[in-house]
Amino acid sequence: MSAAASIGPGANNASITPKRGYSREQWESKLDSVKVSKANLNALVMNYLIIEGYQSAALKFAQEANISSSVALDSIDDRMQIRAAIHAGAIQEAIERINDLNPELLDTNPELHFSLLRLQLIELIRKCTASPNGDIQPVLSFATTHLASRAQKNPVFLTDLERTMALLCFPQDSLAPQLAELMDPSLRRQVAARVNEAILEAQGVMREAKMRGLVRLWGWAENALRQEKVDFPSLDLKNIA
Amino acid sequence: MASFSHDPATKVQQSSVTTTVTTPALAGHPDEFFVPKYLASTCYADCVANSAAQLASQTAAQTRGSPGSSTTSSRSTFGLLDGETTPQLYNHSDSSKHSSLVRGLSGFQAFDLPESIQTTPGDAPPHLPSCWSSEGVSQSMEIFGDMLEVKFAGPPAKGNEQEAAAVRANHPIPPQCGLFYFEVEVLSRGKDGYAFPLPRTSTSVFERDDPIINERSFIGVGFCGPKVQLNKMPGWVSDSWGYHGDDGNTFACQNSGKQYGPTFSTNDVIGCGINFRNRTAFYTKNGMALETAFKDLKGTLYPAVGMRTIGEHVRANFGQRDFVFDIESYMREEKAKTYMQIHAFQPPLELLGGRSSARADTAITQTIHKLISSYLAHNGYVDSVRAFAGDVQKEANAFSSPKSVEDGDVKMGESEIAEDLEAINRQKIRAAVMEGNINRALKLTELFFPKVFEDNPEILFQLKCRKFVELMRLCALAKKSEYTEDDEMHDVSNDDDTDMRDAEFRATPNLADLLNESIRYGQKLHESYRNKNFPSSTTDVQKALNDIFALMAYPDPINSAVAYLLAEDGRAPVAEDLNSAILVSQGKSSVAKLERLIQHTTMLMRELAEQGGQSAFVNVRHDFLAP
Repeated sequence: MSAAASIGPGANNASITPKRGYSREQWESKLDSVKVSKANLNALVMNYLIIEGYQSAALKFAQEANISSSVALDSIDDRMQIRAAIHAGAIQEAIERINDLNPELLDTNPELHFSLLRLQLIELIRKCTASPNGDIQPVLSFATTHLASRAQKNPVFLTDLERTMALLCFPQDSLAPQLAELMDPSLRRQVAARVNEAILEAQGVMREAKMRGLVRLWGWAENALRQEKVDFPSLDLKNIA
Repeated sequence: MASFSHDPATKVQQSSVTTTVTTPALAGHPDEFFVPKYLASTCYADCVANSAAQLASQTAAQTRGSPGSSTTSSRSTFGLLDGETTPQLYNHSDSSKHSSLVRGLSGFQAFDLPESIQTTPGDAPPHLPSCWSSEGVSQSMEIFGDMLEVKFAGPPAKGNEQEAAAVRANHPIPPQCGLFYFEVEVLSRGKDGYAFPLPRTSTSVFERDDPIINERSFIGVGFCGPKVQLNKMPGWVSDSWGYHGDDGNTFACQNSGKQYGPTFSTNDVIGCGINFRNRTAFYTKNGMALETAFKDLKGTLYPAVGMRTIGEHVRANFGQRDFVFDIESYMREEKAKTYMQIHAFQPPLELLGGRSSARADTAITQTIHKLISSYLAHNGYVDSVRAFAGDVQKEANAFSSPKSVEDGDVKMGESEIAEDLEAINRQKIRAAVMEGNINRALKLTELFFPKVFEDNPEILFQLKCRKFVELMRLCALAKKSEYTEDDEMHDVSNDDDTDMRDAEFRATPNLADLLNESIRYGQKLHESYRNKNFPSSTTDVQKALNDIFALMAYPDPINSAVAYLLAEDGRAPVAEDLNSAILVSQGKSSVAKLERLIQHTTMLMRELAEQGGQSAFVNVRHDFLAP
């Protein structure tokens, strides 16, 4: 960067600043000049393993890389059992475990509570529609007792509930994409991740692993610099050996 | 150079000015970088920290005899900037050596970057404004007190009431800092400030509400471009902007003002902030923020202050001392705004290579898993790779439906087994270096990766140097145990790794034998490398040899000036370089993809921040890497 770099709207600046571009070689040599310490890299990885709850990996890594971790590794366990329960679709078990761990968590996070209950409803629907003569009664009674009262107070909840109930009307193999999304297991992942974040936040730990922010920043920056019409080789994250 | 008034009363100050100009106490030295605390989390601070790290790693590389282009970095100094705790394991041994280069001033970090720094010239960060410059300044102005104080000594401008005198800072504001803030304290409003005739009639509200006339001063605080003549108040001419103390008006490149804020005078502190995210500027008075003063700023900008009457006297603070205004909170808010935008952006799937139907967050998760897995393998943390794959598998298994096992996530497949073996071997070699058993590392490397030393003679040299250092270390420890029954020595001999040393190390250290052996080894080393140099690398073989041979000159090297050479911390960089060399010899990248991602993102942000903009508020090192 030049000592007298001037400011000016990047996009309209093309006439003043010559268009920049880097060959792969030039770019790589610029990258080599960025110094990253091993301790920092290790901390970044450890942060991910702990926050996202990869307990045995965190333990091994702490040993092999000789890291003394400040966060007690056992604290991962509760979070992971909750996550596993949500992933497996055992939402009732998950809710009970959450309440054991932190009785106030769901009371203070009505949206999180609702999304868990809705997930539970989806699991009931999944069970009911799996067989041709499935009993619809448990679905209806669960929706009335647990979700309807909450949905009345919140229009967003109401829309979500209506959309979920629509699952009952269509055959499972020909759902509209919007509805298919609800049946996709990735919804469990999403809810599980949000529960994990909420627990961490309640424990005073940062919500999100730094690695996620880093990957998002990278995606944003690649896009932003392309828009500035700067030529550079993209980072290939498709093939990571 | 500034010229000074010939008033004898100012003689003393004059002489102090002269010395200040030649040896400024804390600012303006061309080789020093100052980063005020409020800028610590900006892209600019990252650039400065990286330059310091580069320098440190070069110095370290020279010392341990490794190529200067080595991909590993010194673990010593650059952490200071982000306030991160010094890394324990990898803290490079010679931090004591560098400590003289990194001096902490109150709320300030300074980095010496000698001219010899071998970086691409364009990579050295620009300087921040740190004091006033005497260049082109009118004779009526005196600059003194570390070049931070300015006094209007006269004679007053005659006739033309537009005449004034201004000074500007020594450097323009680098847009990479995102926001630059400085404060000007009015020490004196001057002898006849208020008696001076009204400068302008346009929108002046000179007789506005306050009756006490001496709350006004003919001082203007602002900024200007590089070509602006310093004989007008900032704001009165094109390419200059200012907030004036007589009427409280702001002036943007013209001599008619706009009603803005209160007037200011003696004892008031006026702050000026230039925000490169939205290209605006604002002022503060005595710690209270005033509204936005200017918009659509462009060009190269220098902080500036202007004066008109005798006795006016101000002192600037470019971050050397604490500010009256809470600029750090302001910075945090700006940073939060930036991250809100970044977080709202979903990385395009084609960059991540996820399934087209996959959700972006699933694709990100898979990418992160692959990054971690490859990072662990890269470092030869074999058990961790396995444990991680197991954890991921367990997570996937939790889903009942078979469809849910995401393809493309980390698994331990057939192809990994072969790599696994290679990683295990690298792990053994690393462990040997880390416990100081260089002989074992040499043997294992030749056994498993016979071509490495052939292709990288400088790595072999580096290991041999380290072997000599380890021998000297044993001598020093043995010497210590002979004289003292120190607990410390017991600790050392009880270390697990003692058992794993080769025979020559294991024997109860007989000091004389050990010393003889060490010196013989040193002679051999000297013999074989005396006239050698590695043309392909920047390693200074002779300097590296001289450095380590200095250990022999001290009877008690552990308490000597060269003790840093003996520290165990010095092993990690050697292990690192050897690991990288092995990876390259196996046709792999010497840098893990995760590290590449950080480097790539840092460079993207740096490119983006060059024009200012919100990217300047992102400091990858500070925001993602500091523990």
